[in-house]
Amino acid sequence: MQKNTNDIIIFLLVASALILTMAVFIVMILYVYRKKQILFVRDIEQIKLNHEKTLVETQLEMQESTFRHISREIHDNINLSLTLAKLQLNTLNWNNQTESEQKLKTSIELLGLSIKELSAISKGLNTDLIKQQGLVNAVRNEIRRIRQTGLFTIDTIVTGNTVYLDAEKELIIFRMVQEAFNNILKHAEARHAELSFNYTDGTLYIAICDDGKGFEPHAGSGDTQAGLKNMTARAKMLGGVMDISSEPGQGTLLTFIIPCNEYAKRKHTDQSSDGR
Amino acid sequence: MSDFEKLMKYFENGYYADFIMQLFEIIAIISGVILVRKDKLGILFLAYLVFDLSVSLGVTYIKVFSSVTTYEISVIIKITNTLIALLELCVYFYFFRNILANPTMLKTIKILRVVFISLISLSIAIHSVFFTEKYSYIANAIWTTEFLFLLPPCLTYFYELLKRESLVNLYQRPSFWIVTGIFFYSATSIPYYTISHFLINQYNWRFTSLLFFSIPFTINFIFLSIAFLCKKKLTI
Repeated sequence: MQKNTNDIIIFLLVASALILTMAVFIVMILYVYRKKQILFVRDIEQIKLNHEKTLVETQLEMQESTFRHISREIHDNINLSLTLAKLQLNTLNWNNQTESEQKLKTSIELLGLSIKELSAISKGLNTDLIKQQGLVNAVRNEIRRIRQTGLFTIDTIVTGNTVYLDAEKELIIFRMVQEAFNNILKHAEARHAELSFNYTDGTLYIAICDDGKGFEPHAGSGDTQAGLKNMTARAKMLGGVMDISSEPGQGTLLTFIIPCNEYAKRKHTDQSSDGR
Repeated sequence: MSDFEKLMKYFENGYYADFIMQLFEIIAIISGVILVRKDKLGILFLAYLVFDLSVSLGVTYIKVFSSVTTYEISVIIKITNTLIALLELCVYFYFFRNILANPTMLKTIKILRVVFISLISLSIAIHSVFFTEKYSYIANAIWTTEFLFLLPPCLTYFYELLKRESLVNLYQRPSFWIVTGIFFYSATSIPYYTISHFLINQYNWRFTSLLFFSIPFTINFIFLSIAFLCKKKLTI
């Protein structure tokens, strides 16, 4: 009987010791793991904060760039057309009806041209299109607008299943494509350009090439370098990369590789795919 | 004495440890069937648990209701436990292969599995030794080896776990509960199987097996049930 009681006491002691050891072990692991987890959460928050900061900086930079673009467009084109129209109207000579009619006609043409250019600027700035129709359709509309200038032909190829990113990211991609085509318009003297969008394995591959005069990517002017730097920074901010390949007389090829493994909740209507 | 009374007396003599262990094993099987029956690893764990429970219930039946001798019961236990050890090690090694990243440990696991299977084959091959009293020593050595083989992957898991950066809470990881269970009962079983002969001489058999066999196994089954209840893939 005494031996049995001793057995039970020993049993209880050893069992308690075993369970206590186990509990201490689990608590220790949990403590170390939790400590590490808190540090990891802090790191992620810092990364998120930095990302948001970069996003805001990029948006500001894009805004600045857009303002510069508007200012230049107004100064170089619209202002010129309106000044010319004003001059024509100021020098109207009512005694010479034929000349006046000609000047009025020219003024109307200049005003029409200004309205058209203003409309083009307005369309280029309208970000609602991206929110409503998605990146691909917005880019297609932009290409349509550029085609109307008649300066060069553009082929567009879209392959893979379109992935919809959040509107902010799509706007940044749209602005990068827009800037690339603005560069072709202004500097490349190209006759043909090609744009391809390829969605493969959660990645968006964008290629923009032209048969223009090309340039030395590392030896451009300050503005060119700043523009390329901005585009590279935007691509990097999206977690992607930008590559430029160009040589004088050999045209230019711009490629963007952007991860796009997230789906936005927005619903888009692919209007340009089959017209339905 | 009725059959039920006989059974109750048997459980009472063993401080109800066998009964509690089997109860928790049944709970683990039920939670496994409900929650992880579609998972490949879950099926393997279930197969192991069902086999282990069948053997455990079978042995209980033989001990309580049959007229076989103590020696024969001992031989049956040794053989069935060796088979359980083989299945257990294979299932746990397969599980470790799915959760560990360290290539050296993965290679080691492969080698250890081959070594263990060879050891068991060898013990079976030595037929003359198999059915003698000495087989007790061999069986104990095999089980100790099994638990020794299980410890390095467990430690590697904890090392990798504490190195990993993750947002998933530890108590939501099935692997944590499973490995902790394996680690605990392996760590406590090694000294037990090493000195079990001396313990049996000092105390009664039921008492020692209760202390070092039933409790760690019961905890292991509880942890397996918790792992199944995590509702996440068992490899996480």
